[in-house]
This record gives sequence, structure tokens and C-alpha cells, in this order.
Amino acid sequence: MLEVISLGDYYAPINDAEPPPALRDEVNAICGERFRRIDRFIQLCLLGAARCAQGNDLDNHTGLYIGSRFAAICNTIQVQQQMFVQGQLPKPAQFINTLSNSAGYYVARNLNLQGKNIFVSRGNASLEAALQLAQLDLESGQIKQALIGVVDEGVQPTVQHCQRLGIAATTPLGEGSHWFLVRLGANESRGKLGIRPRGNPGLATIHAVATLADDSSLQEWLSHYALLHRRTFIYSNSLSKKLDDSLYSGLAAYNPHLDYYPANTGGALLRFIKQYTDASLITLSTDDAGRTHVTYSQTA
Amino acid sequence: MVTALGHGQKQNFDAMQSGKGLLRTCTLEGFDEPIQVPYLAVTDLAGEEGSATNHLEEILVAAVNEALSGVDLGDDDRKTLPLFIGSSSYGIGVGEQQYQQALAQEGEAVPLLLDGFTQVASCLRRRFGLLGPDYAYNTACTSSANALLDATASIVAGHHPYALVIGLETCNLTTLAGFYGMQLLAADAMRPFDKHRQGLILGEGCGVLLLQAAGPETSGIFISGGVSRCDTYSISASNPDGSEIARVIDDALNVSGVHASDIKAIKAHGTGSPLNDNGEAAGMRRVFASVPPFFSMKGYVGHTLGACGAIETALMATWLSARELPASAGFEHRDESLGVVPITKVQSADAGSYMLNFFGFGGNNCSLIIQSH
Repeated sequence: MLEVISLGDYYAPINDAEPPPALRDEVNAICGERFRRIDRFIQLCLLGAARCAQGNDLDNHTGLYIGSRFAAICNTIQVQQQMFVQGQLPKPAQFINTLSNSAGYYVARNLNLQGKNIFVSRGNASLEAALQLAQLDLESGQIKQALIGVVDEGVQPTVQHCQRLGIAATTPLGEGSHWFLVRLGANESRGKLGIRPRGNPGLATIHAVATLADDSSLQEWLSHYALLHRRTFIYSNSLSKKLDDSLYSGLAAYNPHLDYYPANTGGALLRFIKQYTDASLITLSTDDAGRTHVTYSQTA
Repeated sequence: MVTALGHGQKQNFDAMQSGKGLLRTCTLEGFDEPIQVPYLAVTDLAGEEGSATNHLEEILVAAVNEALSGVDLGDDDRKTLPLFIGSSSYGIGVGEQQYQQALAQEGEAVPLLLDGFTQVASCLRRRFGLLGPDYAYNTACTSSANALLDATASIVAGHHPYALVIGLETCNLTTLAGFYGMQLLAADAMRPFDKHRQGLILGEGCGVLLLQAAGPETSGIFISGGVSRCDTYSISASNPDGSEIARVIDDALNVSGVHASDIKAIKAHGTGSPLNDNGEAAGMRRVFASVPPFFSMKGYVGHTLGACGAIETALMATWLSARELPASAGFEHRDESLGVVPITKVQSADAGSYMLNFFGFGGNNCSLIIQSH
């Protein structure tokens, strides 16, 4: 059980008529240090993480977990084009930025974090993977707080990126950097430490994150969580997943008004927490193996 | 495990008995002039000639088959078995090949059409029916060491009876060209901690470990814990004064309840690059009043980057099971400035605590403690 104590957000729709919004000035304004030779994925991570950390006193052992389906894809595409079309070697900074954990390095440096620093990917369920790893470290007592971000950058031309994503070429696309500062839920903290956690009451509690192997496991999971709260909403980030009435009867579909990108479950959860009090959200991410990655959260 | 030395624990162990590393080269085509670089490739695979997908899957499947052989995993175990995967490159070599072929055939093509991070997990789902939660770590050279650490935590927490840890690295031009461009590659041999060390040689391979909980009476090789930390000194090197490396080693000893004097030997990261070996030697000297016997395995299998956590831990387990420690391949001349010398002959290994260190770009440092009893 994870208590959400702060949020940090960036979202923009992406189209081919104009370049994605420039981030440099905002990143420079919010970061304590002016970072050079960083790419857009790093900028997105710095911006979202800094917004989430604002006003919070982060312990320098706070765990850092970044989830993404594609990480620094624009930079990596550029490296591939330079090598295979122009016959050029990657420049050192450009090559280092293709490593996904370079973003974690800059976030850690900006926020003076020295603890665990993980980049993890699981397709469109990279938020769920990051939440599960953070929960593991919180439960073991290795960390007291976790800063979790799910980030995917927009790619132009969008028609090529739709091909990459395996979706219709006309699908409207977005990009986002969605961050959650979490600690162990009050009940678990009391059990582990014998005391209530310090600080403000949480904005929401993420009660469950799971990977379910098939539809029968999903049905069983839903039959438990869908009934826990009188006002429960459901969100699926899969364009192809049809919400079967028999599974989801009584649940209202939540619309976060986001265009498509792999990290949009993070955007949906973050918007729900901001928008609703005393309500629950179930998120679903399906994958091509027939698995469903689920979360269940309640807002304060 | 599969490495440039061979397929399986026995071939790797036997090849390391020689105390000598390999030297092979490969050519990077497509640049203004072909570039010749040292590279320790996996050879003798039965896969379709030239197919990067087949090459990746052959290496992966061979290593997983070895790890699962003799283990009776039921259908339910396979459906829920968590996969902790570490790699620096995942399927990028496959994506590169598709892009190059499309460019050659059509003149223009869409780069990176492949969902690279998912290549390993989706192969394991398809070939072995492993449907549990998968975690694709990408923290440079500590990727599969971090995977191992979290897999251990997951078992200790009682979330799963088993966990599968996979470290995989296969040949790709982005990595080779990137390291070549950064002038980090040795011209001929890798010489960790040697006075004449010039850099590293990259290698490919796969290490797989199946973990399960064990009681205190069980004999074998056990992971007792470890720590992963972030060092923000520089994105490409740890602080050369050794302070950050000392900190992660200290923390690993503390969380594992092991005193520095109890460490029997250290498997160093030992890349043979001047900066890494300076920082690592300084870090060991800060923590240990007398630095225990230590060695690098990279002189044998090359630097397998994100896979080195799993490959080198699997190799270490093999050596400790034989009650021996390997010589540090490539070392000949003492570097007085380091103040430490790796072991140069096979030594016997008693039961007790051993340390394995892994450091990576992006400030990722990881130290693990394993027990042999």
C-alpha cells in the first residue's frame, strides 16, 4: 500500500504541424543547476520530478524509479540515422544519453538524491513496474520515500511513431512526464515502525498493483476491488481493449482527456487524484500476451 | 550461461582455468572507413546465419534452459514466475538489423520500429510460458546486478517462491560505436588493475539465475543482500577518490550483517579502464584495513555491460561451488598508484562471505554479498 504525498506533471499533445513545446527555459528555471548536453527525455524527467519535489523535504536516500516504454527514443533514432544513413559515429554525450538511466542521474543530481536509482520498462505497463519495485524497497525498509516517474516523449513524424506503437496512423498522440512521491501506507508504517509516518496526510493511497496472467485472474481481481468503494471508476490505456460489461458493470469509465502515449496510465492516475476526493480508480494495461497490469487507488 | 568462453557452467569454468582471456575482433561497417574493434562474441550457435533475432534468442534460450534444467516448475509456477531482466542493449541489435535491411532494400526506412525493451520478456513468454511480472532494468552496467538485488528482495518478502534473473547482452553497433567514439576500448587485451591497462573489451553473453528461498540448514551459494546507490559525481565515472564506492560497499556490508574482516574475497568490477580501476582500488582501500584477495572476470568474458551482474554472479557461484577462486586474467604489472594487486593464480575458496561489485555509467553503483556454505 503506497500513500501518495505529492504529484508532478507535464503533458502536451504532439502533432506534425509544429515542434513539441520547448522545455529548456522551464527546466532551467526549476532546476538548481543548468544542465548542458541533455536531450528531451532527460528534460521531461527533470521537469516532472522537480515539480513533484517542490515544497517537499526529500531525504537524500529517497529511492528514484523511472518507468518508460521507449526512454530516450528521439535521441536514439537520431543516433541510428547518423550511423546508418550518414556513416557517423555517435558523439560521446549523445551516446551516453541513449542510456536510459542517464535521466535518473540528472534527476538525482538535481534533487541531491544518493539512494537507489532505477530505470525500468514494461511496455505500456511501465508505471506498474516502477510502482511494484518501489513498493518492494519501501516494504523492506530500504527506503522511506520513493519518487516514481513514468515518462514517454513524443516522436515526430507521428505517423511513424504510430507504426512503432502498433496503432492506427491517425491516432492523436501526446507525451507526458507524471511523477508521484510516495511512502508506505499509514497502516504498514505503523506495523513496521510502531509510529505514524510524519508529514501531511496523503492525497491518495495506491492499494494494489498486480500483473494478472489471464482474464480469469482479472475477473477474480476485479470482483474484489470493484466492490471496495461506492464510487469506483475504471481506466484502460489500451485502445483495443473492449471493456466487457460483465466484468466492469457498475463502474464508470474515467476519461482523463489525454491523447495516446505509453505513459498515459500515469497521467490518468495523476489527474484522477487531482480531480476527485473520496473515490477509487482502477487502471488496466493489457499486453500482447493477454496479461493485464492493474492498479487500484483511493483518493483521500 | 553463455559467453564467449563457451556454453554452460562447465565450459566456462574449464576455460577460465587457463587464467587467460580471449581476443577476437569485429569490424564496424558503414562508416567512412571500416573500424576494427576488439570484441568477445558468442560463437558456435545453431541459429540462422546473420539473423540478430535468432542470435539473441539462441543465447537466451540456451542459458534459460540450463538454469531451469532439473527444476520442476509446475504450470502455476510458470504463470507467476517473476522475470528480473538486466541488459544495456536489449533488442537494439535486432532493430538495427531491420533498419539496415530496410534501408538497403527501399532506400529509406523508419528507424527503431522494434519495441526493444520487451524483446527478452516476450521471448521468454513465448518459449517458456513465463507469464509473471517482468522488469526490464536499464541501469547501464549494473542492470542485472540491480535485477538480482530486487529478485532477492522479492523472495525475502515472500511475494514469490522463485524468481528468474536474466542478464543478456548481444552485439550491436550502437554500443560498439559509442564506446569506440568515447575512446574507452583497449587496443588488444583487457588488463584490469594492471599498470598498462588501456581500457575495456566488450563481450556478449547471457547469465541466468533461478533463485528460491532457502533455510539456514541448506548448503550451497546464497545471496545475503546488497545495496544499490547513486553517485552524482560524474555521469561516466565514479569519484576517483573512492569515497562513493566505499559508501556502497559499507552499506552492503551493513545491510547484510557482515563485517569487512569477514569478506573472504572480492569479485571486482575491474573494467581495465584507468578511471574505474583507480576509483575501485581507492574504494576498497578505504573500507578494508587489509584488502581481501580480489580479481576481475572481465579479462575472460569481456565487459558484458548490463549482463555482467548475472553472468559474473553465475560464474562466481560456479567457482565457489568448486571451492576455488579464479586468477584475474590480463594482470601482469603492478600499478603502484593503485596500492592493490589482484590474485594471479587460482586459489582455494573456503566457506564464508564474498563480495561482488558492479559500477556503471549514470552513477549507478551496486555491491552484493553472497555466502558459500
